[in-house]
Amino acid sequence: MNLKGKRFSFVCLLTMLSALSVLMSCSSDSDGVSGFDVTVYIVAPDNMTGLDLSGHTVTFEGEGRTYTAVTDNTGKAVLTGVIPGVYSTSCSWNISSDEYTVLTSETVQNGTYILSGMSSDVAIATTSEHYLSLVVSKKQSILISKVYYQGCKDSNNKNYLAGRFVELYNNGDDTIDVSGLYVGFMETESKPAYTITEESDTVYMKQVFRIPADKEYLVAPGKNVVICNSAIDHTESGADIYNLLNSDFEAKDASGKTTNNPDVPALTLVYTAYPTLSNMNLTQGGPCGVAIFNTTVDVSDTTVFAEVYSYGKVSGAKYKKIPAKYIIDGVDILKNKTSGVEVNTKRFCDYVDAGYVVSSSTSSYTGEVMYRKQESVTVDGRSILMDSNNSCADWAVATRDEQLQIGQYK
Amino acid sequence: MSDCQINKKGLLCFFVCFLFGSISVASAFSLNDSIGNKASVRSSNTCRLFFHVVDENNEPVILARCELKQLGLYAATDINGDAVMSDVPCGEYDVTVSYVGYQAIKRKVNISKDLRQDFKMVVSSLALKEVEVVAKQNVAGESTSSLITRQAIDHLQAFSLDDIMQLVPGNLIKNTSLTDESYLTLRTLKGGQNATFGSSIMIDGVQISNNGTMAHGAFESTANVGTQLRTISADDIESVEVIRGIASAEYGDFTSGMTVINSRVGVTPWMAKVKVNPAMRNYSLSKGLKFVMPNSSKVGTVNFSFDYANAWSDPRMKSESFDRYTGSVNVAYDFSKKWHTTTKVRYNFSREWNGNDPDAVSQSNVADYKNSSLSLSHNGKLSVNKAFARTVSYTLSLSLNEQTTRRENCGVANPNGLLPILTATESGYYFVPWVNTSYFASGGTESKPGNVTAKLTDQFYVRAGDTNQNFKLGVEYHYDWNSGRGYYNDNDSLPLNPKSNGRVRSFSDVPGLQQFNVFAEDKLTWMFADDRQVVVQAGVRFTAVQPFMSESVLSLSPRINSSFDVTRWLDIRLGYGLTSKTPSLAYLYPDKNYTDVVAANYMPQDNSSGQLLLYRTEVYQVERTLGLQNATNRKFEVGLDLKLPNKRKISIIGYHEKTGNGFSSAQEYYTFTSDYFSINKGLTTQNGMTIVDWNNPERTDTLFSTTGKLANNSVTVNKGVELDFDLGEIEVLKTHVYLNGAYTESKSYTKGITVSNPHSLPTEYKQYGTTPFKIVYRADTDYDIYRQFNTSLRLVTHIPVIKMVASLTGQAIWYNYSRSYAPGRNPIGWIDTDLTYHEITDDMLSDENYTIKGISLHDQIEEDTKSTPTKNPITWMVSGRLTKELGTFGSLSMYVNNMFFYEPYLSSSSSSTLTQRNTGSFSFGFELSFKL
Repeated sequence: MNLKGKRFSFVCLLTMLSALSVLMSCSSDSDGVSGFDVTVYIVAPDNMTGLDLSGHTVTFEGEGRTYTAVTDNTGKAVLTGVIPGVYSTSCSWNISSDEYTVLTSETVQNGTYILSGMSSDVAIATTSEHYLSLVVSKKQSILISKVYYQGCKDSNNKNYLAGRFVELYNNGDDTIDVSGLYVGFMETESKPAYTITEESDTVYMKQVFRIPADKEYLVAPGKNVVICNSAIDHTESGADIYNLLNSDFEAKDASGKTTNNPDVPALTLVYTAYPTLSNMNLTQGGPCGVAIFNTTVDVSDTTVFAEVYSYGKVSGAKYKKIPAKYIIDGVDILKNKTSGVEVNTKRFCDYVDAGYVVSSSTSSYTGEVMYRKQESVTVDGRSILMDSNNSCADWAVATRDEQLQIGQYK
Repeated sequence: MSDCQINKKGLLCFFVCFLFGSISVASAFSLNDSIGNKASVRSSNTCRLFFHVVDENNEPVILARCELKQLGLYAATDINGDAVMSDVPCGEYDVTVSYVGYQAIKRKVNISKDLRQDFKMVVSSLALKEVEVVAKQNVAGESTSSLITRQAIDHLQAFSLDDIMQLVPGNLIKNTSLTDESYLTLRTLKGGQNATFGSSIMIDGVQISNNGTMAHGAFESTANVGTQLRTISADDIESVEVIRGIASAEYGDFTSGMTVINSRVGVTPWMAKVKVNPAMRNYSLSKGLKFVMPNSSKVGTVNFSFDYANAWSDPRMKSESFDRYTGSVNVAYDFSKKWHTTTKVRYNFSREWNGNDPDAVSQSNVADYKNSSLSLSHNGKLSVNKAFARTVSYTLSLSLNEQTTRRENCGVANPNGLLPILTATESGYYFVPWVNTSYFASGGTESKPGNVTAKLTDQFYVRAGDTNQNFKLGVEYHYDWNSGRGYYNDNDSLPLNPKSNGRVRSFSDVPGLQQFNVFAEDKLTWMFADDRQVVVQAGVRFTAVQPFMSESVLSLSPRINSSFDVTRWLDIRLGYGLTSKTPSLAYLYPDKNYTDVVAANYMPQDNSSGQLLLYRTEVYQVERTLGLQNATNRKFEVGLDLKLPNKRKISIIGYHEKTGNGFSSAQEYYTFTSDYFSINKGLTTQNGMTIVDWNNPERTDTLFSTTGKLANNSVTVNKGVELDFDLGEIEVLKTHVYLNGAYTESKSYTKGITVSNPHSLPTEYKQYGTTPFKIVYRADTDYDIYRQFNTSLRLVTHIPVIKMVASLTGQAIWYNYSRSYAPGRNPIGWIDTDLTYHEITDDMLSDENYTIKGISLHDQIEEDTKSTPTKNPITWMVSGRLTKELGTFGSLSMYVNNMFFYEPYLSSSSSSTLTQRNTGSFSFGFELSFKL
């Protein structure tokens, strides 16, 4: 190669090297996503204008992150550093019946009242303001504490549904008589039979049972009431982990296809939408909304409690319409689909259950039990369970491995 | 109408028709006389026609088929390639000479004296100017059918008969998978039992009978449904004729249509074929040899064919597979110059296996379905050459099948924790054992249907002036039986199917099915002008099933097809006919109907010896279904054929067919009482044992149950228009354009009544599953309706110089509509627990407060569901096929379905949800074949 060629190739090399170094020095220096400030205003219920809004914690939960902030006297709370995403926000606290009377000038039943607000699917993209309306409801003593509807797989890996139950709990300080209490199951059509806008004051129930009203049934504080379909020891055959021999009530199968224990009193069947289904129709895989309610009017009276088709339909199953004001406690358990949870299929309005519980799996027979979380334990070892009328906060899901038994709380 | 009267009526009809037939023959004969021809056919006005057939190398072709169309005469060449037709009346005829693997030669001959015709046959290949890769519609005057020949089947790369059906107008291109069951449906959008049971397949003159297949266990899906198309391999087929219209009276025992398959018979070279696509493999080998009997000039041919196909439903996970083995030997032999025979032995074995991936470690749960069939058939043709018996053909066949399902270690779930083991076969109360957990069971179904067929046909012609009459008379006998073990469990205390209808049933207890048929047909052709003719094919078929028994079924099916050449380029065709399908063994002899109800369930948890489970079993046996008619289809067809210049053709056929009495279950109820005993009343404990006080039940229920009887209540109406256009060749591109399509509308409903539980049943009835009465509505106010319009445009490019043919098919579904129509209806009556029927009058309906046994009548009025039709948007698909011959020793073919992978997300008219269309329609594969 001659000198000119050498020089040319050297220049080329130099140019290439410098270009390379320039390119390499270009670093993608993105700042990353920084959080935004989100302002939340809690709004008192209409009839409680003098409510003190300061000092309450507002929580933002979602996408594995949690943010909290405390409100000032105008009810404003500023959450800082919130990374854009979709969250659910909640805030709740208790007031006594005296405070309730002072605020509203209404005399009310003695007890504790809960003020709570919840909003799901709040999308945060930038600095923004949000309003959270609060609703007030009475904190009841008798609560639904466990719902086991999923069923499980037995030792041969085959489906087993007979061990399912519902557990009720006395969360208050006084002994309660639960005779005459109604237990109802919400309709479970794939498209809800009614929407909250169409029927805001009633719920549609596919089955209504009643704890026999003929004699007293007292439940001490901290004690539970177990209702099941088959009150036998399911651990004997190794099919399930629950021994239901000591259940309080059993929904008897009139078609004789389930093993019923003659020693356990029968749960009275008041209404069923399906012929031949006389015991509890807990839909494995969900949804499975459960409510307990009380009324002096006879539920089988169709002039007060109508039996209707799904809203807008003229055929199919007929459901019992129950006014929501009678409901003492309810839990909205939704179905987990592969496309996610459809929150708009909730059956209860906010003051019954502002949230929902959902299984972590999309399949059925997982052995999971839904349970109400423990808030605190009294000095004599009695559990106090959470009750803010928001199952997103109050409830959790225990997997089969956790082996959560009847009467156990956590 | 009593059975006796039906018998007489049928026989009377038959005699009338036979009389009519013989009168027409006699009159034609006398016409013959009056024109001046001598009565005896052995006159000097008849001539002889000699055939001499050689191949390209001037070697004689033996057993070539020579046919004279107008008179239905047939001859086969001998060892020297010679054949003769004697006593042929003078005139002009169409003569066809055909042989497997060679191009058929059609010629017009004018016979005025003894004539010799030489034919030089050319091997069929893509190097020739004409190729046929689409279905050819047959000429007017005969039943509407599509003929698909070997070249089209090769170009299609068919794995089974299922693929071949794509070429019929109105059918869609789809990816056939051998792991899916697939049945033949013609001219209908709604499948279902009656449509598929009503389509029939005939191979080499023997109809595949499904009448002996019994319903039970795992084979419930095949019984009463028809032959599975995937069991018939496509490589040994020479031609397929799909008869969609009004078939000749020679064919019977079907409603919607018939597929006639002819296998390859003749001397053929060694043919090895390999067909592959991602999920399937198909290998086949065939050869045809000639043989000469020593010390004589009698010749024959032997054709061997072996076929193996294997498919996996998902090549990634070996959990479902299908294997098929087919072997056949076909001997064609001439016992004399006048007696030609074909004898065939065919063995087919197919197996569908469902299980867990053999590489996965898990408990076994295997289902194995095996289906094997052995058939022997013998066909013969005698050229008797008498006045009323020109050609006499006969068919004898024996077919033995075995269908077994074997389930090993199948887990039976027990979700409620209490599974009763029900084995009682008579009505009564039984203490049944029970199981508290799930268990593993083994068992299966063994079905052995068999069939014997004998058929004799006489064919002769009468020629008078410008008319030709071709007569076919015949008798046919079928016998079907099932000698299988039926449904069985390995261990009866752990049954495979613990439900009420899962009890064992032995198939060999069912009597055999006899069918006796007589048919007569006349095809009249009248050339009333040059190149213009009128053709009328009229026939009648009489069928008797189980004659002389109480459950006998008789039917008469007249049929007529006609065409009229209005001008040289326009033909009009008209047809009307009835065809009937006989009920199968499963319909005539249904299984016992079992109902099991709990009578006592007492399970004290502290005293296991005191536990008892008492069941009330009610058994109703319909020994024989009396009064069941044949499902009859009435078809009406109108069409026109336009012949355009340059060999173009337009054919439009409109049809309307109605099966007014398809098979369905009869809604017949009966009642029985069942007591219930509980610890509160009826059961007492003594020394730890539980005693039943039979006279003191807690309650007595009256329950309704169906008898399990079958009836003719299903109605299907199909109507539509079929288009078949041959738009000619674009010379420059060497491309031929074909367009075919169909508009089909199918409507189905049930006639008679529907019976159901009343609405708003109070809880005290609902919880026990009882009802105080049954409410009755009309069934025919609700119907399902489907409509579809689809077209397929085929561009076939044929380049003889490079021996290649490629076709591009564009298929579009322009309109797809479905609707379940259920307008409101009022109840018409109610049935009380003593089975008395009470009518509901208008006065009762207008009274808002009217109650029947305490239940409001007003609640029973069903309102309009206001169902909206679902219309799907336009979807299309382009597929391509290519065949190239490699020299003279083989060929390579390839295909791609949905080559643009068009699987769009579209919404339908009834929902805004986007669903993916054309899913699973993409597929590709190739075929390699060698010829030695």
